[in-house]
Amino acid sequence: MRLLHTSDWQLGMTRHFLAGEAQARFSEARLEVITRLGELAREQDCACVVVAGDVFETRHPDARTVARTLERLARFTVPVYLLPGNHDPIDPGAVWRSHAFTSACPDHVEVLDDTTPRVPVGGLEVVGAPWPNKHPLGDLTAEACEAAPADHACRVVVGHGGVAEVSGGFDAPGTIDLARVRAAVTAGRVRYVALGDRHSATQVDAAGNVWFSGAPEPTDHDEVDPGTALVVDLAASQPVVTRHVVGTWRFARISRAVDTDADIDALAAELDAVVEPSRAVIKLALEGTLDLRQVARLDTLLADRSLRFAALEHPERHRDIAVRVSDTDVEALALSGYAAAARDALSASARAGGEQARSATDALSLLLRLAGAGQRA
Amino acid sequence: MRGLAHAEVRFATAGVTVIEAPNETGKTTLFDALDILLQEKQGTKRQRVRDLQPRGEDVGSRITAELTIGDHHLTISKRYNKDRATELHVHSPAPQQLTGDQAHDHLRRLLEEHTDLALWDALRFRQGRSLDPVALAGANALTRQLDASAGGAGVVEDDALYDRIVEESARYFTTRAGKPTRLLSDADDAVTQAEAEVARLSELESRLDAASARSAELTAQRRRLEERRTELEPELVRRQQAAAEVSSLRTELVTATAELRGAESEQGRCEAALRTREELVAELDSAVVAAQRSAASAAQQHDVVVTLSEGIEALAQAVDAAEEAAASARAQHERARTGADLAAARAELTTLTGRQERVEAAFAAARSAEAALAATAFTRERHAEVRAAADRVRLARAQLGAAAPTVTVTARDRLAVRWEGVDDAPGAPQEILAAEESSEVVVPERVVLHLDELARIEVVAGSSLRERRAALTTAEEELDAACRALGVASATEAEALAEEVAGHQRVLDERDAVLERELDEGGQDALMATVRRAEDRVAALTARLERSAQDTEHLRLELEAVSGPARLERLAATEQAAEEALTARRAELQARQRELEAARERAAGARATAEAAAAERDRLQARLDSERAVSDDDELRHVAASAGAAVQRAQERLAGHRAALDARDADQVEAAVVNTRTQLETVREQLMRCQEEAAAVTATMEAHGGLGVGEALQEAEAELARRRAARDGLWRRAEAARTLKAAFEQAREAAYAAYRAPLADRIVAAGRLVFGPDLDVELDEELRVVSRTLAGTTLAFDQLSAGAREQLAILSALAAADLAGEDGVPLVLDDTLGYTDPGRLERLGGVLGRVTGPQVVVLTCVGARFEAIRGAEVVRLS
Repeated sequence: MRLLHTSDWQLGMTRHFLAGEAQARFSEARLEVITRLGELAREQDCACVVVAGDVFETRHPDARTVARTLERLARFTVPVYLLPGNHDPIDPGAVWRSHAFTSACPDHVEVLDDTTPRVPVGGLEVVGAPWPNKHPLGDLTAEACEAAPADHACRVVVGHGGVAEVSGGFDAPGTIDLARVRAAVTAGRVRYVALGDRHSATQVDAAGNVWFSGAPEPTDHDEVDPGTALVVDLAASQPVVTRHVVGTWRFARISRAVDTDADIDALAAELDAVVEPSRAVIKLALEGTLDLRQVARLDTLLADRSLRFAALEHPERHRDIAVRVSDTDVEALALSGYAAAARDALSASARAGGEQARSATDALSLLLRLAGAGQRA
Repeated sequence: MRGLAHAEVRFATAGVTVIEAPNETGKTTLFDALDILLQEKQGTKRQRVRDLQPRGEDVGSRITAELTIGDHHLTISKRYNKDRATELHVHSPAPQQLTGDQAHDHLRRLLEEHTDLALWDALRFRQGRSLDPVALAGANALTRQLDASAGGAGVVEDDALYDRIVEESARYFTTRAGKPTRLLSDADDAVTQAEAEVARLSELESRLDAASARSAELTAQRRRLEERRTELEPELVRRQQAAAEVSSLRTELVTATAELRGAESEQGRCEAALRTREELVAELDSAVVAAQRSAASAAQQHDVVVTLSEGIEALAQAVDAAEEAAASARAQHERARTGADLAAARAELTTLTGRQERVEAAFAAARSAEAALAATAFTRERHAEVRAAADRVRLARAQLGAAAPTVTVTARDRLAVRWEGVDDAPGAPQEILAAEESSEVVVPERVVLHLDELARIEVVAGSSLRERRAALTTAEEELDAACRALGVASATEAEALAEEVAGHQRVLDERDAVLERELDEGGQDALMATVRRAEDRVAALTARLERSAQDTEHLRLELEAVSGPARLERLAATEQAAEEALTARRAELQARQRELEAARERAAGARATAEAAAAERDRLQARLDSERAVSDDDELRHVAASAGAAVQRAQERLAGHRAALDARDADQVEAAVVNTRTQLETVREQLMRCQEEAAAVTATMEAHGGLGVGEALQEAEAELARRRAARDGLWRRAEAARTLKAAFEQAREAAYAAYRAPLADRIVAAGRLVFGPDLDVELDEELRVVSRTLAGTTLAFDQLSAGAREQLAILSALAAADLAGEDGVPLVLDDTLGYTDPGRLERLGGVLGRVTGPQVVVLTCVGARFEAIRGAEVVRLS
């Protein structure tokens, strides 16, 4: 007996670094992955699908987001259980009670809006620990586990929240106490605890009864190995968990030192090596010292590559890059008369440091461009 | 070409070339053609190229020039409009031949590399040019030399870069005020709008969050309250049962208390009945004694009344007699007083009547005297006038008599004499004088004495006698006039009249004296009113007396015996004695009557008391009889004893119940019920409020749940981040442009400041030959002449005359051309110096004649203007 464990779809998520059509493609990919999850459940002969919280990015998503989600879920061939998480808790105004949701929700899709056990097939019991609001007073998951009878039944508790042992403390609301959960597992109350909240697929306990499924599509750069879903085999007393990659997008950081033209060449090569850049969100962390001509070159490179990627984030004017006005720059600005005097004054100001230095450096870069030296580089 | 079929001009490579030709012979076209040759490609269709064609002729225009550009010596030839072609022959340093656009482009490159096109434009004095100063800034060939003159390296930058920088800055900041342009302000506005949208959605989201949190609180609260309610409800039931038992005990206690009160009440009633009976018996005994006493007292009082009534009857008769005596004395005294008053009134009336008669008599006498006085013309003045006139007549007569001669005739014998001319004997008859009788006549003026018929003697008085007569006549006439004025015939009558008037005056004085004496302040009317009042008083007193008198006789007697004071006093004493006697009798009678009244009241009271006492005695007796008929005294005593025993029993029962209730701590049991019930009600009420608020919060969340607020907020935040990034980037570029522009402006200004001195020196050096040795000029940052100083007087450029402005412009251009040296361009003066006077024209010609370095071309239709240019090559076009 298997089930598909997924979570953190975060549907309706908006990323500021994705502009225009990139955001549209990103949103569309997050809907497409639902379809792939449905196919995976069918392929893997799963009895049901549990989504362990944060189906929606917010408890007030757009009606179109809701409609498109339910349209994808309607194609599933097995029961689907949606758990309200910290992003989409089931308070009276939440999406779960909205007309947009209730009117279009397929019969085989059910919201785990309380701890009543659901039975998708005989011999399997699914118990939800829904978030009633953003600040639950207790450990909902542990409570749900402890409330179950110690009958060693094939019982799955679906919960949401950080685990103290993983996240390092009980500060966040709804933090799950692994010890309590483990005690319930040991007592035969629960066989598998399907968790959501952490976007990276993670085995929480040593025995392998408690897992975070990770998000099916990545959402940020700090996620470790995202884009997965878990197929959980519950036939034996100890569940067997298999990870499946379903995501198509990639969030990556590129950190480099750039001090020379060769470094810029290497950066260009690394960017060019990214597969399917239109689904890649790259955050650059560059440091080093460049002269004006090299900065202009780097700018040109990044402006060019930005067109290929879903997003190529880099701090405005490379904050970690020290810009120096080199002799080469001065030579490139082969000016005479008062123009040479102005150039030299700006150059001195740029080298003097302080707040004026940045402005002077920018002015010199502009001068380089206007004098046509930029193009020659 | 238009205005120029063909022309070939060879210019001196240095110094002045004067091209002289009449108007409309193509002098200007010559240089326009050179511009076109250097700037326009062969294929251009620009208007100025098409204008080269003669009107109505479709012919080609060929322009050829041999030029030296830098170290290049070349010939360029272009054909426009028809059979277009371009040919370039570079003769040196490296011979080269190019055609078409290639030739044009090569020429342009050479020009841009070696020729200062800005200076070329500045040194072209076109026909009809405005008289503005020549702007030399931006002319590289010039500024290079100026830079060298100012101690620089002689290397200057083209202003084209500066222009691009200014243009770049203008994208972000306005040129004049330096304010952000629409580009920046739109970026700022876009951020502001996005911030507002984020704030709006955040606020909405916060409200929903707050509602969600509140909803959670309410759910928890409801759970707590429901648990508490579940605890309280059975507790209340338990406590209510305990309270019911206490309540039952209380009811029994109340019943026992009521029974005790009933027994006590019955006991009280029986004892009261017994007490009432005993009191009634005692009361009856007292009433019998009282009835006897009051009957005796009533009889005694009755006797007193009888005795007093008898005494009063005798006393009343005495009072009547006294009243009669007093009335008689009072009437007599009154009549006597009235009679006395009447006598006095009559006497006063008589006095007043006398005064009135005297007054009326005085008025009557006065009226006739006043009439007489009114009829006469007499006044004291007139009377005095008559008297004075009479005195003057008498004096005149005396004086006449004294002066007039006297003629005395004494008859010796009887003699008849007749005087003629004598006034007092006019026409005097003959007078017969006896012997020795004399007749004497005073001669007034002229007297004729007729002595019988014997003689006629005329005596004539001297002249003084006539004057005195005339004076007399005058005096007499004045007397007559005075008498007429007084209304009398003579002085004698006047005196009589005066006497008569005096008599009348005395009558009037007499009247005034009477009035003064007889009348008071009110005058005659007051006197008459007083008389009338006296008459009224007499009449009134007479009437009173008539009424009081018993008959006429009495009246008469009373009037006759006008009472003296002694009689009146006596009568008054009699009346007073009678009145006092009467008063005494009456007082006695009243005292007796009061005594009788009091005695009667006492008698009536005693009688009533006796009757009441008897009635009370009878009533009490009847009541006692009646009550004894119901129950006799012994029976009452027995019933009272039974009631006392019943009270004893009820008290014992009550004590038993109270002990049982005290054992249960009833107050605490009941308080617990109240407390529990209050708590339960509070919990229920809180639960109800909690549910109501939960419903309201739920309604709020449901109302906003479908709006997609969360997703919209995320989108708005993302948009805000994007807009901020765009704005920051834009502002950074803007600041870079501003910084760059500022640096360039500062450096450029400093450079031009250094250029001004050498250029000004050159202009002044040449200008002093034209304007005089004390010339000085000032240049601005664009190297334009802004003022001229001559003989210590400084004038702004635009204050100078048209001629002076043009001369200074040409001198500036010449200085620039001279300074540029080999890098320079030709100075072209097309139809200039039309405003210059012959003297300056000659001196300016001298300056131009000194030019050896730069190439100067003068185009003119008046060759004589430039005759003073020494060594100039002159080309005449026809």
